Amino acid sequence: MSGDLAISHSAGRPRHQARNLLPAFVRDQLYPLGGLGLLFVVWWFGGWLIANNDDLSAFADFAPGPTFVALVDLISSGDMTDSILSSLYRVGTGLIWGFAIGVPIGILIGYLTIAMRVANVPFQFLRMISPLAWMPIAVLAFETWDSAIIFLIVMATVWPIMFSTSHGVKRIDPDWFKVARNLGASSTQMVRTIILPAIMADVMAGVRLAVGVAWVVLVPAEYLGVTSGLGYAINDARDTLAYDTLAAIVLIIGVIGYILDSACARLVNRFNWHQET
Amino acid sequence: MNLFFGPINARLIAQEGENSVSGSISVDYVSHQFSKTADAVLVDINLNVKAGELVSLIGRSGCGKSTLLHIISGLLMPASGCVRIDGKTVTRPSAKWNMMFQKASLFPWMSVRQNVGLGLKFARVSKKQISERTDELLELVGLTDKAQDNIQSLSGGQQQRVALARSLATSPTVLLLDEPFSALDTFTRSALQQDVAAICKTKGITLVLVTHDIDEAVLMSDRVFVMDQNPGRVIDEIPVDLGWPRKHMDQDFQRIRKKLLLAFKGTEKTEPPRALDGGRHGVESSAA
Repeated sequence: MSGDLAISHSAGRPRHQARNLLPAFVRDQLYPLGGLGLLFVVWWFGGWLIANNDDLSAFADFAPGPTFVALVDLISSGDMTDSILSSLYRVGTGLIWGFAIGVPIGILIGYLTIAMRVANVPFQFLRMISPLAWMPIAVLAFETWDSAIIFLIVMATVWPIMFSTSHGVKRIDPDWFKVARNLGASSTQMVRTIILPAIMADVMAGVRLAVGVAWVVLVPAEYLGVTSGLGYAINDARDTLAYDTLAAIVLIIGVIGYILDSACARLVNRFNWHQET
Repeated sequence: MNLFFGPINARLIAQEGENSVSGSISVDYVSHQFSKTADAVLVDINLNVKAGELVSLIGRSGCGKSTLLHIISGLLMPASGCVRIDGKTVTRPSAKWNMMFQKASLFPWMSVRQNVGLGLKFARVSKKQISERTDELLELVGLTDKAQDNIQSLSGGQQQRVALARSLATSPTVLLLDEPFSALDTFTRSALQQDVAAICKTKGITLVLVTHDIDEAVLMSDRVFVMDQNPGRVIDEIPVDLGWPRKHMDQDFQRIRKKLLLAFKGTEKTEPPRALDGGRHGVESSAA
């Protein structure tokens, strides 16, 4: 898993003369808005096709029009607030555990070659198992559905955080330790002033990947057992044939996921000291 | 890029010229090997350096000169023998005898200022004092206008100047340099050589310089130890009785350079190592 994917992106800015007439912040948003517009057109066209097909017309509520009506309804009634909060709670708790387990192990396997050699194959093996595959075991092992779901999130988040952390540790210049020891650093000062700032950008890149996977895994995990959360809400909407609500929830999931990812990207930048070339 | 020679501030050095009497180094019967089965890297090294003296260790790569410097700094423990600084056995690194490496090894997530003040931060000096001392040192190395910069935007020479300021911040009595100028271009190197020698001379800092550059050794030291390899040992000691500052063009400079070159050439032979005389290469010896 490579952590620097997230680190070395650069903002592609349109450089055409004509566009210089527009203010910079508008110019920056031209391409993203264009992409979003394109997605909307595809959605609208799909809705139009469905509406004009007699076999599928029962699903016409998936189109943008009914969806946005349902979305306004969901937001104004506040029905979604509880679902969103319980989903965020599960992702957050899972992420905290993933961080608490992934970072120390990542430091260990990044620092000790022997630990890496011992752990690499089992960890790569475990990493490739879909977190959802743990579902039956999680249900058996945990008393509550909530804990079972959080366990699945941990299984999704621990790997990217662990591997990014070890990648960060490996990138530490050994001379930094020599210099710091020479300047009289104690062990705690070494950890706080040298090691943590050195690996923080990579750890955060791992967190960003982890948030992405966690958010994706969460919804199917919530199909099972629990009676709250966005996954449950989607399932519920399907069972009641409320396709407009279903599409609106999909929209909400996408927007929250995007916000979470942007927040993580900001964190990565905040801690990133690798010079962009 | 900073091209002018010697941006050191003479006034600042004079103000602070505490001419310390500490910083004497004695290396006693130091031998080292990296593992019990490995060949010896260093055998029976004995040398004395007076407080405030500038010495160089020269030799080909692999003669163990850098290992010896690591042992003096306390970053590495010798397999046998010991190193004493001011009479005290060195058991661990200390900010009082600071090492500079070939790479500046600055911390890229810190500004120039933070890098310079790091040793003082470790020593829990107050923020105000760190700030004052940092200002002083940045002026000394001629980088006041770069104080807030990201170190990755500096040139190689400027980075080494920051590393020098960082090493000097903790007011060390000994400065250990492990080929810190070898990656720099000629102009930058020359300026830094002059500056470091001047700073050490004026402040009374003992300097041990590891280099394979004969000119650098003549330019910066009072005495040069020539080392040979397999196993690493000191084979010759040549005093450099020249005034300061030194110029390559001077006849005396060339005379000592030749002498050193001859001694250095001697290390080319692959004959079995000759027996050591057991004598100490130190203050009392009188090498021709």
